[in-house]
Amino acid sequence: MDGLAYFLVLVMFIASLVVLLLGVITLKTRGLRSVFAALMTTFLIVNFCWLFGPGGFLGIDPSFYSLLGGSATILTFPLATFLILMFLHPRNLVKQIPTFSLLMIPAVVLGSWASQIGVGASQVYEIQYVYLFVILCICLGLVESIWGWLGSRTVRNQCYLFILAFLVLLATGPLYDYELEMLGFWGLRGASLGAPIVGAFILAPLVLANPMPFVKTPYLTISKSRPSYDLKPGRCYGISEKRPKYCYTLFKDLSDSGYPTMVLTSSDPGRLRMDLGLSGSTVIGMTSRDTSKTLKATNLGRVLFTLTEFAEKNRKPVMLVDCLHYMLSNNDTMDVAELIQKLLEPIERNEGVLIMSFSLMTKEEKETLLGLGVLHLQMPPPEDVISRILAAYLGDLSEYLLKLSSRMMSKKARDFTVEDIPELSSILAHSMRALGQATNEEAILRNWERQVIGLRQSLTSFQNAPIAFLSSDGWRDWDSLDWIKKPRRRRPKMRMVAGEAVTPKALATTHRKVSLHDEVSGVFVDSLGDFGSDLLKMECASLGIEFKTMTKEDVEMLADSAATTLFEMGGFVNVESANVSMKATAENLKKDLGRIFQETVEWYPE
Amino acid sequence: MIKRKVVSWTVRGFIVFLISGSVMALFWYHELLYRYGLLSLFVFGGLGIAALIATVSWLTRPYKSLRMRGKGSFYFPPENLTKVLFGTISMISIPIDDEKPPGQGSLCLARVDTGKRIPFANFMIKDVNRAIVSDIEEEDLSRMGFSDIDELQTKAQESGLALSGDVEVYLVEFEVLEKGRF
Repeated sequence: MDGLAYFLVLVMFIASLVVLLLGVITLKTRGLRSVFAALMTTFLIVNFCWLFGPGGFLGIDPSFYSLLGGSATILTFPLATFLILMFLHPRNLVKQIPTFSLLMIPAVVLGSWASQIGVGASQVYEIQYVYLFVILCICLGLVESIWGWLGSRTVRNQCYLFILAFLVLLATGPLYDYELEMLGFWGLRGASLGAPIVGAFILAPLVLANPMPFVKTPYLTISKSRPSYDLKPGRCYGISEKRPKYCYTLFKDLSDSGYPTMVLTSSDPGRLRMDLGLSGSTVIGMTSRDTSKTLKATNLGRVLFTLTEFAEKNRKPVMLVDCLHYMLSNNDTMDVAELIQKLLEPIERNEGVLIMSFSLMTKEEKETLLGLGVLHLQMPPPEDVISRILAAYLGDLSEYLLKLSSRMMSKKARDFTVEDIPELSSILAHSMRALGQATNEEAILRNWERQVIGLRQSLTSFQNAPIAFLSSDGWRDWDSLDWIKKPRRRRPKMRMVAGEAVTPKALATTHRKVSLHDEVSGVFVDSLGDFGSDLLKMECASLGIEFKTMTKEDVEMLADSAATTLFEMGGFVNVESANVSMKATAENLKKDLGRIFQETVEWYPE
Repeated sequence: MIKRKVVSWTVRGFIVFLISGSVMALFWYHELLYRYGLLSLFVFGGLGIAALIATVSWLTRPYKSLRMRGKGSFYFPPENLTKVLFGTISMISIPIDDEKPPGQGSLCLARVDTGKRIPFANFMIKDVNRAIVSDIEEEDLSRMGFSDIDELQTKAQESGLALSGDVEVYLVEFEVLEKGRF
């Protein structure tokens, strides 16, 4: 070998060493790291043997180095192929053993045989069986890489570089002798020239798909989840909701029950961990760039490997993906569908649960993902159900009290979740009791207390409602007042008073005659809901009016007094918009009552 | 931005080096070239060298992405043209039911919506996210050039788009790479 060839081999040797060190430092998956290290070590041995082998610098026992170089050259090809197969078909190490044996046993046998018959590195490709085996390994790697490139969308970029790696291996390995012949240059031999290039082509995609590091959850006793959440193991759930809320509720329940959990979120991971109290969970963020703590939305290979790694390494893993819409915005829908499909396999095998938030998704995207066998749960917005319950108990006051509660909880009403119900219930109870006490009337206070108990029971019932009930739209027909077996207060009906015999003429002249107190009561209930009837009784008591025998003058007094009370209550609520709205309600009530005593309808006291 | 420039120049430099190295390596085998005769060398060699010079000059242009064609166009009203060019506006919202915008890293053209739809900038999509209009944060609104949601809704209405608080939109964040020169 001449000086230039020595220099080139030395450069390749150093470059291979650098690639080996980079790979060992950067690769996180143990299996891939070991195989990559073995591959680069065989490359180093090949180069080392060329440096110190026959005619080398030191001229130490040329035959030994030559034979070692020959065996290492043979091992290089199956190792490279095995590495690609490991990456494209990630399984646990035990399941990789047959593939490993199939590739490595013939390589070891051929290497030993080549050493025995004294074939060194310079003649290794001249043995027919070795040549055939090496070509077979390269073809297998090439076919798998091309198949991955064409068939898989998530690892397309990786496969592209793997194909290049195998072409370099082919050009610097079995085809090299022909090239040397053509070029007339006999300096470098065998796989030595391609060592760092092949290493770099293989290392780059492996690093791109490097899974995020996570601490393996220690074995925990898994307690039972809430019976209402009955999620089946080994299944994937897509939760449709306007804003992601129920997915967190279900996930938190499973996390608290001791399942190993992981969240992939597009929001701030630290904040989410703090908000949900997920101290034992792995929370990974998804952003527009790849870092040591976040995944890039377009790097689906890395997303897949991170999720698969977690699913494979834990028993009964629970994973939440709340950033599906973010992935779909930056990738093709089919790419994301393939990722989910690949993820379902380890989930099913390890009896885990995958929860995905279907918020902010188009109908087509939902349909595509549901086609993969994802169970769909259409959940109602919690704020809507809470509003319905409040409206049933408090009528028009519900809006004000909801605003008041939202201000006290420093949270917008639209952000209320099922988890907020205990706090919300407590705030509402305090406010309602305070309103009741403001009336200074024991009977009304008692009525408010009854309402408080009913409201709290209804809210708790909603909190514990089974998923099947909520996802089936059953909540829309649910009468929260029925929950406490309380008959719904009906609006007083207008009663017909038959004054004379029913003849066609009489029918034409009959007036609608209703009692005055019913009409007044109707106005109060219409304006203020259940609170209206309480207010009417309170005002009658304070003004000394006999309810059933009230006159038009009494109604006039009642209108003034009720309006004043409502004004005062509006000031008490201390929410500007509620205050204004309360005053408007008072004005309307006064106007409606004024209309009653100005009407010339004949009133029949009972 | 700097990282992207460094990567771009490294790739270009490597390709230029390969071309130059190959030309220099031909000197080693210059005897081979004499076989083909003067006319062949003049015609085919001349064409080859012309193609090489063209490629090298394309590679050594002032900063421009190696990817030539963008994946789509976004339209801006004339009054927003300077704001887009100077980066005051770096985000737009598109209703989710409209055509899906290209994902992160895609190249697009910015066009002035004046009838002819003239391109005025080449930009790269930095991020695409989705949000409900009423949930859009103030920071994103200011990137879109609006002070609040009402202004966004008013402007949308003026351009014939109904963006109520419940509508879901794509939020497309972009960065201008090249201004004018089309």
